[in-house]
Amino acid sequence: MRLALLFRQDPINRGERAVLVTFGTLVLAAMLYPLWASTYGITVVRDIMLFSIFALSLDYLWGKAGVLTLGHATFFGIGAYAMGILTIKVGASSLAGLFAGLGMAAALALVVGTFLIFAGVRLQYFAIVTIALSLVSTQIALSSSALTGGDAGLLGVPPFAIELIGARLELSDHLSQYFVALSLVTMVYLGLWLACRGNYGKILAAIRMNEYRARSLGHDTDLHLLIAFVVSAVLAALSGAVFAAVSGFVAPDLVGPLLSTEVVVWVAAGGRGTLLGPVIGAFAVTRLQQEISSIAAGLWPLILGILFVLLVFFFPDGVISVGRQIQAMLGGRRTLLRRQSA
Amino acid sequence: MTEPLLVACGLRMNFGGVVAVQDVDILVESGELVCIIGPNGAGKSTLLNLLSGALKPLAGTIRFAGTEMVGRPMHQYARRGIVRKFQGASTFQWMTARDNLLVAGLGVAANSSGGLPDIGEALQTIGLLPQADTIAEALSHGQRQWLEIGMTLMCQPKLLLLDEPTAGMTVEGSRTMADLIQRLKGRFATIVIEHNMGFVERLDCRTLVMHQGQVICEGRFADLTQDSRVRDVYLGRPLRDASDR
Repeated sequence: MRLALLFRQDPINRGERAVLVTFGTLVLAAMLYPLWASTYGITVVRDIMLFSIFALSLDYLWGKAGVLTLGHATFFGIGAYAMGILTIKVGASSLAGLFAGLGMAAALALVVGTFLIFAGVRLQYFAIVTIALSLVSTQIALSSSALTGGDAGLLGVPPFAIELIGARLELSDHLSQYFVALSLVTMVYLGLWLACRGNYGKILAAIRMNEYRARSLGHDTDLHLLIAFVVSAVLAALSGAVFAAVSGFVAPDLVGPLLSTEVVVWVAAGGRGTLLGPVIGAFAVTRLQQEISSIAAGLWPLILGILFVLLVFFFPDGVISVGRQIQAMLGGRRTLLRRQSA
Repeated sequence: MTEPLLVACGLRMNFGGVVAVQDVDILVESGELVCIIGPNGAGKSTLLNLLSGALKPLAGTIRFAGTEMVGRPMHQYARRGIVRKFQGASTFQWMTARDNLLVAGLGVAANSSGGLPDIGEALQTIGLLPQADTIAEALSHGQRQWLEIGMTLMCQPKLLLLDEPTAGMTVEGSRTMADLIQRLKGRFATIVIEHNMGFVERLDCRTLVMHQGQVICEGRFADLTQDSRVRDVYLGRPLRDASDR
C-alpha cells in the first residue's frame, strides 16, 4: 500500500482552521486552568481529559469508519486492569503495565475484529456482539477476584513512573499528571485529525456511505475496518491504563456496559465524526453527571437515558452543530417568510 | 497466438434452484467492445456480477490477463483491472463529485505502482467540471450516471463492465455516452449490457444475445436483428429447436 498517497493532505481550509483555533483555545484554557483551580478541580479535569481520549478512540471507529460498538469500555478496562494487575500483583513497572494493556487490547480487537469484520458482520449486529464482549469482560473482572480484586477492584495502583538510566520520573503530583493527560489528549486529537483529514479520511467516509461500492473500486474495506478497530482499541486501552495509573484504582465499572454507553453518549452528544465534538461532549456530559450525582446519585442513569433520547431528537449531529442548526432554522424561517410575502 | 484478455468458460450460477446463468463462455480481446443484450431475466446482470467478482460462480473459470480470478475477493478484481459501473447510480452521496473521483481512483492507485489519474481530466471527460464541488446527492440522475462513468475511468480499467449505462438518460445523453464509449475504444476492453437498442446499434460492435441464462447467438448487431431466434426471444415466443428450422 502506498502510504504517501493514502495520507496525502490538502491545504488547510477555512473550516478546518476554525476547528483548530477552537481546539487550540481549549488547550490554552486547560493550560491556564490550574492557576486558579483547586486540587480537586485539577483531578476532575485530569480524569475528564483521559476520558476524552477514550471518546476520541470511539469517534475514530464510529464517527469516521462508521463501526458502532456498544462495548468499547472492554478495551478501556483491559488497559486499566493490565496496569493495575501488573503493577500491584506482579510488581512490574508502569511501562510494562502500559504496554501489556495496549498489547492485550490490540490482540483482542484483532481476534474479535477478524472474525466479525471478515465475516461481514456490520452495523447493529456488530454492536450486539460487542455488548456481549463487554458483559463477558465484566464477568471476568468480577469472578477472577484473586487477580482483579473482584467487586472491590484494585486499590493503590502506583503512580506512573519511568526509569531512564538512573533518573526516575514519577507522576505522583496532580499537576504533572494533569499536564501529561493534557498532552496525551492533544497528541491523540491532532494525530487522528491529521490522519483523517486527507485521502485516508475520504476513503473511510466512502466506506461509511457505501461499503460495497468502495470495495468494488478496489478498496480492501475489511482491512480498513479491522485496522480502525484495532487502533481504536489501542487508544481506548491507552486512556484506561493512564487513568488507572493516575487515579490509583481499577474497578469493574471500567469495563462495564454503563461506561460503554456513556462513551457513546459523549460522542453522540458532542457530534460524531468531528473529533472535537466528542472531546467537548465528554467534558459536558461528565460535568453534568457530577452535578446531578451530587444531588441524587441514583438519578444519573435515568437522566443519561433521557438526555440521549432528547439529543438524538433535537441535535442528531451533536452540540457542535447547534450553531449551524440554529442558523439553518433561522435561514429556513427567513425563506419561509420570503415565500409567504412573495 | 496470445490468449485473449478475458477468457471465461462454463460459467454457471443458480439462485435457489432458479438457473440464472448456464454454461456461458465469453472471450474478450484487449481493447474490444462487446455488447450483451437480452430480455429481462436473461441473466445479463448476473453474468456481469460473476465477471466483476461480486458473485462467485458455481462452476466455470474466469482467466483475466493470464490470472485465474474465481475465488479472489472483489477488491482484487478492480485492482487487476476489471472495473464495473453499477446499474443505476451508486455514488458516495455526501461527497463532492471531485472527492467521488478521488476515492474511486485511490483504491487502485494506492495499491499499484502507477499514480493517480488526473481528476480534472476525468471531470472534463464526463462533462462535470462546473459541478466538481457539488455533492453527488445534489446532482441530477443523468449527471450521477456520468459521475459513475468517471469513477470507473479513475480505476484505470483494462476491462470495463457497464450495466445499462444509459438508464434514465435523455436521448441526447445516451448519444453522448455512445460517442464516449466509441472514443475510449481501444484504450481498454468494454462489455456493455443494454436494453436500449438504438444505443446498441450506435455502438455497432460484436453483440451477444442472452436468453434464459445462455448465450443463444452472437454477431454484429445489424445481422442479429435479422436473426429469427433473436426476434422470437424479444417477442416472447418459445425458442424453436434448431431441427424445426
